[in-house]
Amino acid sequence: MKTTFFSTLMVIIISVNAYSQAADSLFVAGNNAYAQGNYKESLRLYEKVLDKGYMSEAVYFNLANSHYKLNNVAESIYFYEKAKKLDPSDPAIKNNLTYAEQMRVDEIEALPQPEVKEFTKETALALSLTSWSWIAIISGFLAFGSFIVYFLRSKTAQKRLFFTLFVTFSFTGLASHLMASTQERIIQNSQYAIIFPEEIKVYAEPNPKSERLFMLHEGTKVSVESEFNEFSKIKLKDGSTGWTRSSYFKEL
Amino acid sequence: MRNIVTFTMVVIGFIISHSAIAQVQFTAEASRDNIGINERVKVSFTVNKPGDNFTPPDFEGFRKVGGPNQSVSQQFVNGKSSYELSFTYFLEPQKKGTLRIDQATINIEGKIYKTTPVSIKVGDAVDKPNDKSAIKKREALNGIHLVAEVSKSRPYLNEPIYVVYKLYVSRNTNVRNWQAVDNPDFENFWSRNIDNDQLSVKSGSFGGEPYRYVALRKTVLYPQKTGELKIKPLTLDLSVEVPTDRRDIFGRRLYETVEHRISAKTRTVNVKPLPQSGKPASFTGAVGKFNLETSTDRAGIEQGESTELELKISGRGNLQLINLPDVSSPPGLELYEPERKEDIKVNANGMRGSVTNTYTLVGQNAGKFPISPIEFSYFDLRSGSYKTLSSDEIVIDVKGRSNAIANNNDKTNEIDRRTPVNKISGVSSFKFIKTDTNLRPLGSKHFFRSTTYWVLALTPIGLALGSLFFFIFRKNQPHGKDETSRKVQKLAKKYLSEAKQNLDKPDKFYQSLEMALYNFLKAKLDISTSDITKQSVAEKLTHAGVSVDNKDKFIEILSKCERARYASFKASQLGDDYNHAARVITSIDKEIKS
Repeated sequence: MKTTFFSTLMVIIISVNAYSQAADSLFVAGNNAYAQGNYKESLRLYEKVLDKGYMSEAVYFNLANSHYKLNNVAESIYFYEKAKKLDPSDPAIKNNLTYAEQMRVDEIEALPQPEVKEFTKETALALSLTSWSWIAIISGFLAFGSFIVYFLRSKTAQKRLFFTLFVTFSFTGLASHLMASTQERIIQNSQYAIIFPEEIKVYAEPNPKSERLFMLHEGTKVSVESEFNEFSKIKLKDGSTGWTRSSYFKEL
Repeated sequence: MRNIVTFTMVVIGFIISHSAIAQVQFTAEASRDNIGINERVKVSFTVNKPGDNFTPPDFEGFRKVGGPNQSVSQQFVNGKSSYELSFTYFLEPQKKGTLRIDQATINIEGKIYKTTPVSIKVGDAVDKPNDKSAIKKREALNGIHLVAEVSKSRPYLNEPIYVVYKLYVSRNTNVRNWQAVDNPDFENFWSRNIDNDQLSVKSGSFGGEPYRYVALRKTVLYPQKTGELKIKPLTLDLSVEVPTDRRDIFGRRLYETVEHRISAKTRTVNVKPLPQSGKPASFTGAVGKFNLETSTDRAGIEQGESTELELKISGRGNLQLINLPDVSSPPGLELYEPERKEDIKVNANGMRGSVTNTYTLVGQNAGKFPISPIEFSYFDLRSGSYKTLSSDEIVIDVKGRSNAIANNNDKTNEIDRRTPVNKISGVSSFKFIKTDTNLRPLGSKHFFRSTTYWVLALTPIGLALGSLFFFIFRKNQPHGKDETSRKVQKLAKKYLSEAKQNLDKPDKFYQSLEMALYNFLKAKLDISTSDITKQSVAEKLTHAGVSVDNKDKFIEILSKCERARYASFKASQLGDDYNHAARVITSIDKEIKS
């Protein structure tokens, strides 16, 4: 049964690999163009990878780097955010995102979060979703092993040791699963969007005749709360909300 | 002259002082009592005795043109002397209607005498004024005109226009000198006078007649308000040479210099508002024709260094009145208040030159900082439409201090050693692209929560639960309820096997067999060793549902073991008994269980 499952998985992986080889070579070509400083070309090649229907955090990251080099503020932030969404723990993505964010005009201060929440968030984002998943799986197997050994051994000292190990591994596995789901929630919970036009007006109501609340500039990240006609209600990091045209931003 | 007159008067006064005539006559007399407004009237006050402190009335409604002229006459006719002192004024009416000349006073020998008031009726202007010299003057002054010419009467808001003041002088009049009395303040205009240092006399015509004219002053105006705006007149004081009837001994006409005040008419300019349609958002009121330039002294700086950004708008138009567009920079690049420099020249066509804003930028963080394109809109007068200029995007590249490491420059190395900042800045520099990837189809989900994940994560849990059940099952499978029963069974087995080992020793065999049977009973029927008698065993077995056959067999083996204590058996019998006992135990065990 198990072998059948794994062989099926292998077949899937291999066939996907074969199919994605063209996309892979595009990716490599893009990397070479980037290395030579031909950012427009690398941009085109990476976009082709996406056009072929493939993605990875590396593609988004490299695409964002190319946009950064070409001074495209919004696009670069947009793709860094997309890469970050795939792997929120990657330090290179975070680092270059700060560089890209420096290019934008708006500076919005985040609302202070409770410390416990902040700590949980940081822990959950310390590793990638896949890493957490594997930790959970491996811990599960180790816990199982300890459990078996615990039963087979008759000496009290050994039994005690393996029971402790069993409890520890079970806890680790469960905690990793929880961390992974926390990270998943962080990723999915808020629907973020990046503002593309150089300067937009944000209104109090979904109509351009209403009171103008504030202006936002290219590259600012907002969360989209609701939509009405061609307007969307957006919320900033500092908690202020307003309505603007949905065409002005691109959702992540 | 007047002193002499006074002196004479005083001398004469002495002579005749005592032959005074009793009656004093002090009269006021106007030459005419009905005049036109453009005519003059002569008013004389006459007294027939010498007096002091003559006080004329304040000729209200009149302008004093001449006077007072004082004259004294003394006559002796037939021994009679007559005396006459008169003060004469020439007056020009300033308004129409009946005007009154008030009383004049004079002091004669300590008494104050007053004249009677005189009324003069002033009517409309008459065609031929009475005064001949005045005619001449008027003619002369009629030949002088001050005209304000406006270059455009319907300009746009902020469109430069100019007003020029021209003084037209006819051929037979001369102007000696001029002086501005009242400089008009151009309300609602931005204005700048362009004074001509050298006035040049030009020929022109005015009202179809040949005239000479001089452009006295030119003022450039930028209307600041829409609608009808008034340009207030300029008033000049002129010294005009007026020809007189008199001639000098050579027969040349003598000229008289007359002070004359002249002002231009008020002009009205109708200022058009700029069109509303197509007005760009970045329009702040610039009208004219402009160019926008931006430049930085260096685009690449190091962290903490500063650079300058110059924003220059040049061209023609209301340069001095415009606000330069704002420059916005990302927060990581500090932008200081700009310094405004103006280089503007004003001529009759308006302002031209440039306005420059110089910003100082300081790079706080490393990275690239684009300064978004600066937009500047203006209204182009020539095409009558709005134009928008946009600068190129400027990117300020701020290098982190870490770059100094790669640089083998001696100077930077020195700095490096002193500042340990480099260690961390290497970590935070802009990262190169990722060269490895694991491409996945778009929209593919995370490994977490995928089927594989669930299978792999739940496998150990399932296995653990499975093995737990397995262990429990195995524990329950072989026998009894509790710990003691299991032990007893073990003992029974042990004794049976002990008996098996003693198959060749009859005494020991039956002893161990008996012990085994007792132990078996203890375990199965909950009876203690003390209770064991054949009857009780039989009872218990029956009670436990053991068949009579098996019970009898069991009792038989027991009694055989008892007997063996006293009698000896053959070794060949031992094997049979052992097998028999084992069979009985097994069958009893089965029966008890069922």
